[in-house]
Amino acid sequence: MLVLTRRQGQAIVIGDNVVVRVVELKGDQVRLGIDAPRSVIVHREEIAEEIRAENLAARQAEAVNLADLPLPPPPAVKAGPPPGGSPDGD
Amino acid sequence: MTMVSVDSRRFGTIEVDEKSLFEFADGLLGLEESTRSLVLVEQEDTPYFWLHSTTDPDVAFVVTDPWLFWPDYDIVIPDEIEEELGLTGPEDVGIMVLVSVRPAAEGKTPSVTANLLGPLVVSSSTRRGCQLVLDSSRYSARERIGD
Repeated sequence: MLVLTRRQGQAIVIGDNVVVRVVELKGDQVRLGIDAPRSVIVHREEIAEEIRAENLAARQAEAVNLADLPLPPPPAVKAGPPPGGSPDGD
Repeated sequence: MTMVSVDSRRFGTIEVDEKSLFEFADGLLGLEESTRSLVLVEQEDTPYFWLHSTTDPDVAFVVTDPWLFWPDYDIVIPDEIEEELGLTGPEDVGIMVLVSVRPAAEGKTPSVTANLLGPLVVSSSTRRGCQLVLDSSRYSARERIGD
């Protein structure tokens, strides 16, 4: 991994058209400004990771019957117990 | 109307109108290859749909309209996404969220969550779609449905 030291206001250039600038330093936080073409997707790593993991978890939920999933609460009423309740025992 | 065949582990082979397919140029994160072409399969009498890969019989998702469950759900579609999908106006935009169903421990109800952090946006006219990555701490990728 290439590691560079930059001061506030300084930037690094990636390829022909991506610029990452250190906008502000505050405590243990760094604000970065990113200039990139629209085709370059920029995400916070942990959010993209979370979504990736959840996409995989959502794939082909085994033997799900859509009719068994919870219904939305009626409009303007706070969510109550699920309709019908859950019969106990066998 | 041109019909195409979609192989599905769940539904067998289904015939769908070619015009009803959604094209996700980037696919979904983590499943990029199998999610570039998707089709919605409706099921009567539920607020949920299946969103099925047209290229991988094993890849299908349960999706729903987030506003049915979270009327205050609030997202902003960035201009570049609007442009990329060719969105023409509010009536052209379709938003859905992926639903995960995790099997329950015995005697308990399964855990059902929706991914409000990565909603899917589609254009009903151009049929292009993408998954947004919201830059927000307000929403979770595992928001519980029903309790």
